[in-house]
Amino acid sequence: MSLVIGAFTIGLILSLLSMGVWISFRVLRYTDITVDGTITLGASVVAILMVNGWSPWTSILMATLAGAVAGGVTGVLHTRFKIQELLSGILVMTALYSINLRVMGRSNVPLLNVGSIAAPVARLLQGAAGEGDTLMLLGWRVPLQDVAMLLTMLVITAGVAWLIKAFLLTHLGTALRATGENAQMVRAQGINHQRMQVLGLCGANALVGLSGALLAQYQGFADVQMGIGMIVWGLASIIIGEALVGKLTPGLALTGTIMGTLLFRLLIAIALRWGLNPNDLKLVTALFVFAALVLPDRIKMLGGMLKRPGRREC
Amino acid sequence: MLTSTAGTGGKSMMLEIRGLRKTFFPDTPNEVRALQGIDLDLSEGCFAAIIGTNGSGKSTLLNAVAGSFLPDQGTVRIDGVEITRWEEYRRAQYVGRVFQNPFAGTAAGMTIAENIGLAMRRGLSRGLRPALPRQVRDAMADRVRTLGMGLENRLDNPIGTLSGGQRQALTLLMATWLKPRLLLLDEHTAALDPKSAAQVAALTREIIEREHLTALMVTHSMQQAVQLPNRIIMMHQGRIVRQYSESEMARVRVPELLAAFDRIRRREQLDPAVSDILGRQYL
Amino acid sequence: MKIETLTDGRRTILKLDGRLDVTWAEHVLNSALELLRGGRHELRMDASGLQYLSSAGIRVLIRIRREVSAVQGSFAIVNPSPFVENALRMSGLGELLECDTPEQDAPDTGTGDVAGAPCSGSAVQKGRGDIDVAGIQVDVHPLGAGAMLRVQATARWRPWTPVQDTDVVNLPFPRPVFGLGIGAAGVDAGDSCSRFGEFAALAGCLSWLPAGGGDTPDYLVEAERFTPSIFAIQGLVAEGAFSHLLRFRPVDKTGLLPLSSLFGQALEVTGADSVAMVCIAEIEGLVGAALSRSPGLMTTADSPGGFPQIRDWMAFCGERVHARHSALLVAFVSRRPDAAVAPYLVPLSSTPGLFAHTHAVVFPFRPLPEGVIDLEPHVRMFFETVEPVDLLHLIEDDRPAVGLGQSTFLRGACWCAPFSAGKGGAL
Repeated sequence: MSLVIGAFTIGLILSLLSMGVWISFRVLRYTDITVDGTITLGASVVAILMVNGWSPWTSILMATLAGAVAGGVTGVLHTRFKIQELLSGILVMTALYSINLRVMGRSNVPLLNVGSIAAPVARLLQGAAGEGDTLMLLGWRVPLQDVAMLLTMLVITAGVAWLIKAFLLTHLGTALRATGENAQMVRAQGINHQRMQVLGLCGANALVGLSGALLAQYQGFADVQMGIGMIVWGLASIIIGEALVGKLTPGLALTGTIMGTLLFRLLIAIALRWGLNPNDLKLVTALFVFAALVLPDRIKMLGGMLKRPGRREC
Repeated sequence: MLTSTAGTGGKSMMLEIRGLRKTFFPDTPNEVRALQGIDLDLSEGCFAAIIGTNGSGKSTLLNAVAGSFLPDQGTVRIDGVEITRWEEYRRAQYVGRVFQNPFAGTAAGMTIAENIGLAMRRGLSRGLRPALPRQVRDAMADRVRTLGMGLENRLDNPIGTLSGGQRQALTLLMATWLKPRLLLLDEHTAALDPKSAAQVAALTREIIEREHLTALMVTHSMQQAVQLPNRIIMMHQGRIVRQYSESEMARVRVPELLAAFDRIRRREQLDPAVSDILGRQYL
Repeated sequence: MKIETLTDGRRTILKLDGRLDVTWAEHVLNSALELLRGGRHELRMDASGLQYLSSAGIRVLIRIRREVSAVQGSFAIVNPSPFVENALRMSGLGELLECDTPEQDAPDTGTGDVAGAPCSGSAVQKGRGDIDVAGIQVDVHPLGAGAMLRVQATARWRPWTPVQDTDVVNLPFPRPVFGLGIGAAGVDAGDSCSRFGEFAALAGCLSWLPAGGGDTPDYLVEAERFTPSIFAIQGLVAEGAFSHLLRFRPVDKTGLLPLSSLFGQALEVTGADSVAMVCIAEIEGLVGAALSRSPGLMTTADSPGGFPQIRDWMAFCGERVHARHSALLVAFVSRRPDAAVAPYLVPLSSTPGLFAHTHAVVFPFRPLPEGVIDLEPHVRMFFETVEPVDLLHLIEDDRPAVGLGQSTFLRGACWCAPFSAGKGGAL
């Protein structure tokens, strides 16, 4: 049971990352690989601030802002200085590696003896469940701290997802979506599509920064290497989500992304439990994304003999 | 509707182009002198068609007005406001556009309603209010119904599921949802099948007449140029070589336009070598 | 509908299979006209396979008969089915049926001997010389021994000087007079001066291309008490009788007659140094130019002869034009031009030592009868049945590689005679 709780908690945290990747890749159609650097940035900002006595919430807010700034820099490099979108992401990601080291002062910052955002929920649970630091859940005894973390993350992720969905249905949000669909049309409607790109990248990377901040809190440390391959995980989650619920409306696509992330984390947890070498994890993920990108077309070519390739791949 | 403007006394023109020049790839072997000094005035309510051979600069002229690129020289004014250096998106507050490619004017993955929602705030600020509240959708359906295509019942369908003709009709509706001071039509029926093209052409005329719009249309179709607008501008090699005024439009027919192009082509063929021959052999 | 073409001596038989209705009418008409254009003037239509004949089809038959009779050919329908025969008789076209036509056509003996050509019978008997020019058969018919033309330069403007009032001369063109030049018909000289362009006149018909007035020539035709006249600033005018008629036609698919060869033939046949001619010919390709802006609008500041200003004043054909059309030509050619006309003749680059000035009025194609024919009715037929589509001053484009060459013709008739140049003045 703690495996499931762990997988779901980390899945919820990474759902924020997946939603960020979804905004840049799917909404803006911008191949933004700043993400790998931004998630570490979020983690390192939150770690160093909390180590220095900042409150968890303020630290998370700052980490989110830092992520937004990083995304903004990528966007400005692309729109103002006409650097290719992939290259502008690479530049910022590379720069962030050094920046993250500077922020943390070293390559790893452990978060010991600092406050947790799950503390209020934990207190609430404690009040409800009486004494002890464990809780009965569906017949399983699980650590109360873990449940508190899970619930906190659930609230945060659900809240953020709802906010994103609401935003995407506003005037500004529809303009942002249209920017990814058809920049020419967007300009003809009087929208500065470059500003929209920067705005979208800010938002996307803010989510990634938030995700990194929460991840650092959950894991209890920030590590300069932790961002590597995150973008591929995000993509994998989006692909699974699209196979599960489709991408017809922003709401559906967001739900799918969250579900995809959760399922993906669960699968990874199971695979690890069954003995998958953690070192192979990124290779397997990359292969999975490759298959998900290539197979649908191949299968269509075979005449639709196999149904629902996405689910089958899961 | 006419706002009085500084400097231009009397009735101001809705579109005023002065000495517009543009050279692409200057000082290279691929140098293209796309616009070589264009002067053009459109008064309010004027619907002009630009015709010309391939590479005559007709689409370039339209794009220069739309702001797709900045000209090397010259000025563009819309309703007295100089917009020469304005960016494309900023001009959209005055200009509605329909493109040749039916896919270019709409966002395929978004619904008809969302696309129209975007057009409803063309050139206006876009805040964090919901784009499609109930009463807006009702008004939207009423106006879409005027197209007579049954699209008012499909407002929540992605626009990508519509045919090229339907998309172009919607683009036209979107471009004129807020009355533009200038409507730009860039060969907007060229990519459609003949029946849809005729439908969209009829719709174009209807909307322009009803809303009393000022419009500039690039067309490859002589038939359309003769039938739709009340003025024809003929371009060749980056210059306006001939204009047919409203009074001339009453009698001008396709063969005359073709003959005019033929004269232009023959004029090009009178090169210095031919000039030399004529010098020797013509009395 | 299937159309088969069979040749039976001078006769050509069009064998039709299917329904001659509105769908196929145009096609059948064009097939027949194409044969006519190729010199096949004796047409028969084998109707044995014709299942149906509609009014559209009957209209076509009437049209073919009209075209054929215009060239003194013959046209009849053979082997009609009862239905077709009935349809024809019901529409009063029984005479189109071969059985109703008196068997009159005597066996054809020679190409030059044309039945039903009433003119110049005595001249023909004087003998003729046949000349071959690379795929072209030229038949020479002497018309009047010793016939001579008098040619005058009656208006003497030269490019490019501003036109003075004194340059403008009103030239009348009654039937016996032909000529070419630059001018415009109008109420008075002042009215014409903005429209001066090339003109050509022959057989009481005058055509001119008003400069700056579009691309279509205007024309005047002599009527009972009306004689066409033009306000000319330049004019070469000839009067008198023709000495020879040249008939030319291709003998194989490659046969073409360049204008300079026609000039050469005329000079050789007449044995003169200077020849004036008029010609009705089917065009293979014309090369020429015309004024696009009247010289009457010129000021001393203009220099229309220079490039690129010349683009505003002259239009060049740009390619070989008007293939398969008919041309009426008026030309003056000389080996040793007299001083009075020399300024108006230019050296031909294709034929050193030859000087010429030629204008061509272009019409939609009309076939001509064979043999010796009269100039006047055939010229008039053009002006009365179709309208001129263009008028050009012919030139030789000798640019290396891209040059269009000179104007060439396929078949036609050319009336010519030596000329002597007279001093100017009213004729």
